Amino acid sequence: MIRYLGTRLLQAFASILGVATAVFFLARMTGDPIALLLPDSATTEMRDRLRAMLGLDKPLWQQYVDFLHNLVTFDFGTSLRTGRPVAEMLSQALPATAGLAAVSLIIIILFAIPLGILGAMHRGKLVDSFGRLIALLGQSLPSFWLGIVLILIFGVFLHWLPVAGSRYWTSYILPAVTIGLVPVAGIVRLTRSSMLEVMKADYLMMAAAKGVPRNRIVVKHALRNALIPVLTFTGLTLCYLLNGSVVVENVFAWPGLGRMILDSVTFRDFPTITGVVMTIAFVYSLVNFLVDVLYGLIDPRIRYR
Amino acid sequence: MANIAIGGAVPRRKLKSFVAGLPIIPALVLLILVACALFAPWIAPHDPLATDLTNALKPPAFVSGGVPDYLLGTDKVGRDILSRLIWGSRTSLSLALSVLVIGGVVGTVLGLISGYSAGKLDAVIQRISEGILSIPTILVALVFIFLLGQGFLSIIIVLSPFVIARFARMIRGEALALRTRPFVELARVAGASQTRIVIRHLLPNLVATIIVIATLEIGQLVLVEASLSFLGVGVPPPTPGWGLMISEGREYLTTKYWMSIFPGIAILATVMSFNLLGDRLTEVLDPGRDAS
Repeated sequence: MIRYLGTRLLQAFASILGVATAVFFLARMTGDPIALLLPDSATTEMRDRLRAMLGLDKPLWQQYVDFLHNLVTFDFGTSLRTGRPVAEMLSQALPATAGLAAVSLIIIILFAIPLGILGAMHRGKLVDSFGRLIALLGQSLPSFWLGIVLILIFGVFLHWLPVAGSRYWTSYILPAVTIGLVPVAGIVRLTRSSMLEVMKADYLMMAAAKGVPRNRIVVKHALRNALIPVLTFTGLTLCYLLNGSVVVENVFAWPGLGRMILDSVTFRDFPTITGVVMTIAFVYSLVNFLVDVLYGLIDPRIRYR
Repeated sequence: MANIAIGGAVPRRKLKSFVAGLPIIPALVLLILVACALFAPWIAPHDPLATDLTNALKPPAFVSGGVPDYLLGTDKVGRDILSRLIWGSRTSLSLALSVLVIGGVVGTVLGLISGYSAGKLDAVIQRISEGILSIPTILVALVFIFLLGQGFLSIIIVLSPFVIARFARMIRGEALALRTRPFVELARVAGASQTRIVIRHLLPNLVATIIVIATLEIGQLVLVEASLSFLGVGVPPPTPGWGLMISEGREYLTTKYWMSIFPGIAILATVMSFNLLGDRLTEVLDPGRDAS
């Protein structure tokens, strides 16, 4: 188990370093940052002074080392757009995104897993059709459009829920539902097919032959085994939620990472982009690592591969 | 030698049952969509870029205040929404198809190499593909398009690797299974070259898989391109694009809902049809369990 954990940890570390390196070199490859920062009318002297100030006159490897050093100390510099330290902006945006992801995840687990189980138990019935419809919609609906439609219905026409910002607890409902629909689709499908697969197993037939009541079979025997793949997928869902946040936070004016990166992209605010990308890479690797650990705990076969 | 040839493409029986069980509505939607994309200049009632400020922000013709000339209403500079939707199908499909063709060809070749060689090269190709597939698409696309600059080419460059990776992984799985099948071994014994085996014996048997992945991927590509355009890093304005139209309609959402609603319906209908068709194809052609 320790060896397994060690390998996974190393992999996580390697991917973070990989992302950092990619960001650094891509940024250098796609143009001179000085030209971006200063107007065309700037004198050579001004350019040189800024270059020295930003450490861009040093050799490339030295810049790379400095860059990594800054990352390790969470020093991402100052945002070109707001003039505030990027680290401070991140410390406000990360909890907003995480909060939204948490609420989404709760909705997903409470809604999608039961729907998948019921669908598998009552195949072809109404609840199954409903589950499949939700799964199809989740795969096909553009989430930004769903957000807009929900705003229109619940905010503009019915005045039931707030449609922008994160001030009230009710503010969470619409964005969390919007961002959660895609993972809900995946989890309903997965739970359903996983349940159907497990129900075919010999030990369940044995239990049924012994006269164990059907509900007990489902809860005690089938569910436990069926939920293993679902659990892994739920971990990946957290990663998906980060991705979806870019679109959904923009629709609902949610003050999180997704909106932060979009704002900085339009403004070509490089320090902020680097900060958000590295934060997301870190969270992403952390979640994947935790999922792997959990998976290793549940399924001993994985550890000894 | 006749045995070798039997590993033909899609068996005719399967093809027949597929046509019989084709989901009517999705097939019809896609047919209309393709017709719109191909014949946009003849179908669209107006020039999608022509502005008409006296008729700006008109509601659809069937709502009070609408003008019969503009069936689905107009946007803030008086461009015809219906015409922009029709032209938008061309934007969406041509982008999705470009990415699909590049991704499909490169991904299939890599998948075949990976599955057939099954050595170190295989490991390298598969690790990289896994890595790419675990990346959050929109986020990475956003950053790359920022670096490359906005435009059609950027979208294609950024999205292709994801499709390549998807094909490489799924084709590899299938190729690996086919490798040990008798007709492939027979061809090898008969002295066929590796290239010949891959092209004449493996590839035809992968057609079903390729069709299924392509159908499922194209829907997702339409969705991702629309998301990027909505965020302002996809197709550049004033190109008629569905995602862009939704974004343009946002500031008038409370009063002029049609500007954002209709393009959304177009995206939903398109993506859903591709998904339904893809699910149906998966059932009929059954290209192995990875396809789920």
